[in-house]
Amino acid sequence: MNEACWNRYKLPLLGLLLLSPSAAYAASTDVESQGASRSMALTLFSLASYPGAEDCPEGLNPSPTEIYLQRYIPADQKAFLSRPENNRRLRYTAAGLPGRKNICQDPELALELRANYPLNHLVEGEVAFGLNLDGGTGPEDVAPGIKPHENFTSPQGEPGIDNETYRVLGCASTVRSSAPPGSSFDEVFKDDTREIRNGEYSILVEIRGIDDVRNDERVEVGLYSGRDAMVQNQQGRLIAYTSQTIHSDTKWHNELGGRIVDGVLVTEPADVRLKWQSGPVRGSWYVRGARLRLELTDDGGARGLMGGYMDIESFYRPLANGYRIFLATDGSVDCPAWYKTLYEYADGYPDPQTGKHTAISAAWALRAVPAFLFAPEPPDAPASDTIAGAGEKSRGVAQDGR
Amino acid sequence: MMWNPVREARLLRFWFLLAALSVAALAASGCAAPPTPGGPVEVRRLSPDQYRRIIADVFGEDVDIPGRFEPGVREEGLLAVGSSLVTVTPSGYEQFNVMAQSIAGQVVDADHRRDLIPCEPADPAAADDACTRQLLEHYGRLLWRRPLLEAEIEERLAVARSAVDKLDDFYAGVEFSLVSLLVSPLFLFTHESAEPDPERPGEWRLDAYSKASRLSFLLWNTSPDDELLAAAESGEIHTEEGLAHQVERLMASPRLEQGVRAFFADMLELDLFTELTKDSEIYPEFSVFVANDAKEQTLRTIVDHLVAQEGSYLDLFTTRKTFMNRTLGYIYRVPVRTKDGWEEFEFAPEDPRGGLLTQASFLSLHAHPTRSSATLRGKALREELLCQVVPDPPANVSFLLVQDTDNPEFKTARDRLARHNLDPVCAGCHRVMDPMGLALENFDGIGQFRAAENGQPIDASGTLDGIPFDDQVALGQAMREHPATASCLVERVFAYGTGHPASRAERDWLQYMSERFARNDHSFLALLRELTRSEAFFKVKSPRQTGEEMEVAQARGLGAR
Repeated sequence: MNEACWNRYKLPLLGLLLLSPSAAYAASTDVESQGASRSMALTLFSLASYPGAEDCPEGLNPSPTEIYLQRYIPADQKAFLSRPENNRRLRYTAAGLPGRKNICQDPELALELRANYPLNHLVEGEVAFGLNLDGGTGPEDVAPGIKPHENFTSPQGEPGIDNETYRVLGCASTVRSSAPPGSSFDEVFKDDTREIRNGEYSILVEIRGIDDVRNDERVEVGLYSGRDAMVQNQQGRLIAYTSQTIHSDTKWHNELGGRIVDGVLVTEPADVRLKWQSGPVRGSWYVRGARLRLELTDDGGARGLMGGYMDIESFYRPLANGYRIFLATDGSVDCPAWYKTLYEYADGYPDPQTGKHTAISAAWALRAVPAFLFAPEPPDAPASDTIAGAGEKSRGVAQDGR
Repeated sequence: MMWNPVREARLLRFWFLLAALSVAALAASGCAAPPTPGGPVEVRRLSPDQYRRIIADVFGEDVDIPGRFEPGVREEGLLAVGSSLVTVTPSGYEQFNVMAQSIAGQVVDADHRRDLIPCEPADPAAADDACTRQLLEHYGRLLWRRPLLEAEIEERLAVARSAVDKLDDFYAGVEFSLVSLLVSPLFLFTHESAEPDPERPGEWRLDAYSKASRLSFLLWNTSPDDELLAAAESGEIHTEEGLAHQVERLMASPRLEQGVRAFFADMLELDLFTELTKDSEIYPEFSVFVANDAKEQTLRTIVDHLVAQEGSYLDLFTTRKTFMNRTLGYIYRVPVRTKDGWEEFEFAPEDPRGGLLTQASFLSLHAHPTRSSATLRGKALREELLCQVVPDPPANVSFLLVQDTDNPEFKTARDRLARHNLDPVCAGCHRVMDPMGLALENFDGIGQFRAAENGQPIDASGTLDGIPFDDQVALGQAMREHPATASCLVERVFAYGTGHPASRAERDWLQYMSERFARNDHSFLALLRELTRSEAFFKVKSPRQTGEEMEVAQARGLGAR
């Protein structure tokens, strides 16, 4: 159609368009707004370790090789270690068990073989990142099924913080933060999570039904494992506004209900499973009663915490099976001590048969950037076809794709 | 005198017939192309793309080409014009030699010789003139874009024999003779030749092989294929029907895309991406991948719109349709479903993007490493797209204020340039460049959208030679309406195809072609078709050779230069 022809007919054509059924439908959906949505990808997902000045008065937990050296070769350790054959022997002696087993994959055997295996050095400070999971503020002030335990206070002074994982692992060199004491959340967690940066796993968040990004009584939150790697910029930081595809396996799809209060998203407890991969480790974060507390930032992202009860076996076994003996020798992880201490301080989800608590309160630091999310292909998952644009849109996209 | 109805009727019929004939004559003269004196006969160095394409066409896609190419020279806005001004430096020749030896070595190696050397020597340790001749005739014709003369074949047979004598290997002889073809100026340069035009005594035309080359390099960006060379050999290319047939064949081929891409890559100066750098602290998202994909996005948009959709060239300045991949997705901040590769994409009507000027390639290429530049973008628009010349700035101008992007008093580029242009020495040129560039200030130095600079909303309004616009999309519309937009493309295609910018004497013909372009709804394909079938495209000026030089040239069958 040439320009003259278009000029002659454009007004009538536009009129027809305005009166068309599709236009009427579009208008009606404007009236019945389903709310905006915000979709994001995490750049940070890390066990929240607080750099308290007096947290580890006994120092960091010694590694199995250090324990062995102190116990069996106290004198002239330097000379002993200077011989390469001693180094190798030491590593396997410190971490090996009879029958070609090792202390990481068989912590129960290590604990059997050595009575009174010492616990980890525990965090003795009183401040920790985390959430109040059980509603109580004192050792005995706990919900049913929760084991009584000491609470922390948050850096902002909120009492009743439940984070026994930090108490147990906070003095481990692999977990302890290297930030100076008293550092803020952003200073402690200034880097993106290495595994996410390397593309080993990704976590996607979608908040749907946002009518007011400052205060909204009801929103729906999807927390998903992603299928695609995040992208780094030239500074090594993860880029916003990438397009991400949700993982096709629905076991990594988690739906939570929540609300927004003064710009902070708070969700109701729900069990969450998210894919976790780190080098040889293939596992999942299985968090019982997980809940989010995220500040929604002006750039379309979010930052804050996830709290919940971390299933101990889901946490420990993939680590041990992935790194095996090297977790103890190269990773300086006293595996039996970890295993024993985690169960000693486990405070949630008792086994109905044994009564032994199987999960331990924990907190993760989260930071998210705006991202575009796509449903998995083939579209056999319950998520919508195009989930949402990054940041907020004026209309949400319903589950059936309308 | 008494009124005579019969006589009056005859007079009326006469005047009517005279008027009709006059109108017809006028109309016919308006439809006929103005004559041109023709241009020079060109010798043009192959571009790196052309070199690679020819080697792939002749020897296969899996033949590697090591080494570096010397940079081209842009003249009158085109590397294609500059190619007729450059030569080969000693170090450049070294590189061509490295390439030639590697290519020839691959042709004769065990993996390739089965397919690329169809004849077998009687004795692999001895020379075999018959087989070598067969190869030289075949590859020489394709590489030199004409049959080799007997003397040229004999020279290379001697090279082959000499190599075999020393190395006792037939294939070594073939290898050296192939090297001699590949390092020859007759391969590295397209050598046009002219001959007397038998249909226009006293005038000259390109000879058939030169015609075939000009056609092939414009439409396919490579040497003539076997069928086009055959059309040259038979003289068919000199007939209207024969030329039309070859033009239609070349334009119907998927290979037209590579010709179109090469032309627009040259016109839009996309080769400058190889030297483009951005400050990684200010633009950490920018990378070599973003640069390559931005360039590819623009070329895909152009090819799809002009070739696949046969759309109007002018619509390239307003179209919301393009292609996107996930790398560009985070620059444009748009969702991209396709994980690897490209997908069609259309910007929403309310999006501030539409047309080539709002694509990342144009915006990032014409910006500084640390900031956007209204002036560079305006200059590029004038020079690349409107074929207008903007003088270089005087040597003693201070750009400090313009570069001070943190200035609290002059928060936006518009403010800084307004202050800069208070100097009358600067104002003259900036007045013709800045208004369009300021319309694009909503896009930063790598093409990402921003509504404000230093907290101040960006004003994207302006005028383009009297055509007002209030934002970037309206700027695209203003480009659509500007009379020079279409004529500039015609000018560029002509210069690209012939190797020389139109002379003053060819201007009337260019004007005619621009009118034809408009009548064909600014179809680029129609423009290519009309250009390649026109007399003017192949017309050359009379040579200034002496009679003796002409005799020698004619004896060599090379026509005149």
